[in-house]
Amino acid sequence: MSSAPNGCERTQRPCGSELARDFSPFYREQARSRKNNSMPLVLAAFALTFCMTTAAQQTPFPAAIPAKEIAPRTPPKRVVSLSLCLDELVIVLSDRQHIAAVSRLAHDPLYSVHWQAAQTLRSHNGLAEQIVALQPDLIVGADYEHGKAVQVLRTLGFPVLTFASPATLAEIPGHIRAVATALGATAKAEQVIAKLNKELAAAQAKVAGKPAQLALSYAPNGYTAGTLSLKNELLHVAGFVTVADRLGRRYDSELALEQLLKINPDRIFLEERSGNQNSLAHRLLQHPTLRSAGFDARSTAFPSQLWLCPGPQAGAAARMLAESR
Amino acid sequence: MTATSPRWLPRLLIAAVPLLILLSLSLGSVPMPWPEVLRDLLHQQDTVNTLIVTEIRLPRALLAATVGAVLGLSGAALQAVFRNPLAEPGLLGVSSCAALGAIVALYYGLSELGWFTLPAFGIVGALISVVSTFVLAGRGSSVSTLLLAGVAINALAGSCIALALNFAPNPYAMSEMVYWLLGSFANRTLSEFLFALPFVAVGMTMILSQRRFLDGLSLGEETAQSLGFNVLRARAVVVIGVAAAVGAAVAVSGSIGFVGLLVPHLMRPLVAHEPGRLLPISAVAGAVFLLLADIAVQCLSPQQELKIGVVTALVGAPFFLYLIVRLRTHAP
Amino acid sequence: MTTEVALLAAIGLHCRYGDRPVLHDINTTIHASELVGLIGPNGAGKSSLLKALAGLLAPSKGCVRLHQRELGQYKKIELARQLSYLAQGASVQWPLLAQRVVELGRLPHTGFGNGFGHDLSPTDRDAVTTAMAQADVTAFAGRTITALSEGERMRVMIARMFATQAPLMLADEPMAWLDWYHQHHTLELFQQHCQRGGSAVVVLHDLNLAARFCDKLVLLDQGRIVRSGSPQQVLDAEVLRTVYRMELEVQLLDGVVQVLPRWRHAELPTDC
Repeated sequence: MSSAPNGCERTQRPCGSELARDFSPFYREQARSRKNNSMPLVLAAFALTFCMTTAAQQTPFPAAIPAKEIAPRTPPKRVVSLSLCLDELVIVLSDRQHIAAVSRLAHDPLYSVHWQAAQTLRSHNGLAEQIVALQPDLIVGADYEHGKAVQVLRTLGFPVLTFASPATLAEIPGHIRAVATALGATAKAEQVIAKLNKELAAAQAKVAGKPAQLALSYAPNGYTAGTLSLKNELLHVAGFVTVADRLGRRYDSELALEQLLKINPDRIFLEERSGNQNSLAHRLLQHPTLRSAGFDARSTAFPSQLWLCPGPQAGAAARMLAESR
Repeated sequence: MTATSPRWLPRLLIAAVPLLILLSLSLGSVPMPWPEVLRDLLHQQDTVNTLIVTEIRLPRALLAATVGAVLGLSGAALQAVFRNPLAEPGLLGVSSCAALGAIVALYYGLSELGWFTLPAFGIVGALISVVSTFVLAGRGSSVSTLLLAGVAINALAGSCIALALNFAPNPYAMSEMVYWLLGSFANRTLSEFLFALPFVAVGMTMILSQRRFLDGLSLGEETAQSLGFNVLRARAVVVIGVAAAVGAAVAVSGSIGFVGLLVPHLMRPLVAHEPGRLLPISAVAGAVFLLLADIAVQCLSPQQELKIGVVTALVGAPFFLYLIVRLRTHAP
Repeated sequence: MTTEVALLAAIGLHCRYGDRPVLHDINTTIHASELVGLIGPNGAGKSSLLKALAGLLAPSKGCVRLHQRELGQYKKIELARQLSYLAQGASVQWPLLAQRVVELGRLPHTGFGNGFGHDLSPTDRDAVTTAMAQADVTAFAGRTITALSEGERMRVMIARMFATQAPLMLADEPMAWLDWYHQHHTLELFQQHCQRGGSAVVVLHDLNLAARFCDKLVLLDQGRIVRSGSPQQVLDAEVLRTVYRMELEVQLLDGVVQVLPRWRHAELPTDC
């Protein structure tokens, strides 16, 4: 039979093999009667596992290191970004060689602004063991991420910084500055913010004086952005009044095709019109009514990546929206 | 029970179809100024209102009527062919296999090959399922064997549907599983309806051409053969017709269950249980039933789209239980 | 009452179900105006022979000829007008009206038409009415077949067979569930049909009925014809003892052969 490991003797608990002996005179009979019985092996495995789990329960678990929201003293040399929106900022603000990895979505042309730049960067799949293997000295992510990876990484002592997502355009510069401080790229940040403000001002100037038009964003399955969303604010900057404003919808919601047609907006910004279109959700945006004489000219495909994340790309989004007037 | 049903009832059902279509046209998320709309339609003026009526509401109503007719007719035909009162496209797995075919065509880009690809794949799926049912349950099998075959095929098709949607390249694929398993007529286009229509018409014609055979089949296969029918060929015609009609219908609207079970049973007393006469009236009654269900869906949940399969299941599943109980008490 | 015109002939017929042979080298002919009884113990192959004669069971060797043409050469609907078949058990799947069941017998004549009604011409209606009167089921016309007793249902099925007005009738155990009155009545109908020029082949279990009504008997045992001929020739105590494993007393009463069972031979060997 098996020999009891040391842990069992020390803790004075009944060992697996002893229990096996207690409970199975029957098995003893079988073991004696048959020569090539695998039962001893099975019992040994069972006993060993039993002992190991009891031993493991005796060792103390390391105390969790509390999360710290303090900027490191030297600029980080190996940054890992956990989410798409932070990926964009990291790619813009950091030097290439200081970026250890970005998330998978950063490579997707549909959702990522800097997908070309991201092609040469390593991507991770969000699992802690991959990230740990990269030996990062800073990990950044969005604060709505409560995944286990963040907890594990913090427990293991890695510096993880989470940032609240800006809810309005006015909050974007502050957000960029906060991330830049963590990355040690404050000078670059000011450049980026200046550019953003210039683009926003230019967009507003372009549409100043023109009468407001009715517009909306229309995504697969008929979703339109709510009044509390960034998309809505960008449409305002470009001189539009949105359907969500008119209907009083605060959050993203489904808008029936009939209602869309009846409301008769001046512009329809269709989302996700590139990439794989093979689904019923996407087919809705290709409905004959939207392609009919009256509505075809008013519909524009808008690149979703420009307003998916609140960041420097909001300037480009505002510019594009203003140009479509 | 006399031989002649009330003569007015079939006529009422037939008349109800266009009336319900008109009723369905009048329902929707936005109110319509009907006098103006009618005037625009008559003068062929294109306005937003006419666009809504002809491109959004009309396909919905036409599809509800057509798919209802297909399901009612197929249910009656399958019950006659299998000589089993519990046969219907949903229970036997014909609808789910058709949905699987359509899913493979849509989400993997095959539907771009041509207008006919989506319904054609649905038909292939439906054919595979009917042939498998025959192989599994054979002829003259008991109620339980046939239902078990249906359960097996449904389970297999359901898991393949989940698999196909999971690995589909499009991120929305998985969330659309509900649509495929419960069905919906919302936002369907007129061209989708027209693509499915030829297959549906061919399938329904094939089924209806075998009315007399199905009458003769009630005396048993051998007697039917002695009455001059080529049993194998006639049965194949019915089965292929069912596959064609159901395959195309499901490809456009998803899998809607229980219509083929409920409608023929309700119509049987009207035709004194004759399988041949049951076919056309089941088609009409199926259209009426599904139009009513779609109208209910539009009234109950105009914003949050309720899938029509939910309504048919709410009505059909208790009826199914009742049928089983009645069969058990009456069976020898 | 027989003429020499061979209507239906089985020539060197062998049949099998799957790999199990059921008929061996059957040679028999049915002539016009002949009422033939197929008799034999259970499992002798009577139903199989009847099915083969009706064209429902394909022979593995040999053939069946109707008017000197093989059955396979006829179109199914032509054959249906010449032969009418009554299956054993005679079940109906759906609770149809009795009248409708009889009307189904006219299917070979009405064709597989396109109307939504019943497609019955006046000729068809006459045939149905006559058949129902002959089978004494006119009173049940409006009742559903599942509401009838077994015997009444069998008579409706016989009426269905008569409604087809085919010259050749093949009936598998039509006497099941009938009372004596109706057994005799039905066989008299078959006789009248034969007198008008038709023929009939009937599978019977009751040897006395067979003797009384049939012009010719064919005795089958284990897929072979043991004896064939007039009732006097076939119903021989020695032959019947071997085939039925029963001790029987054969008598002649009013010129009709009577068979009385005495006891069964439990000790006679069988090679089933």
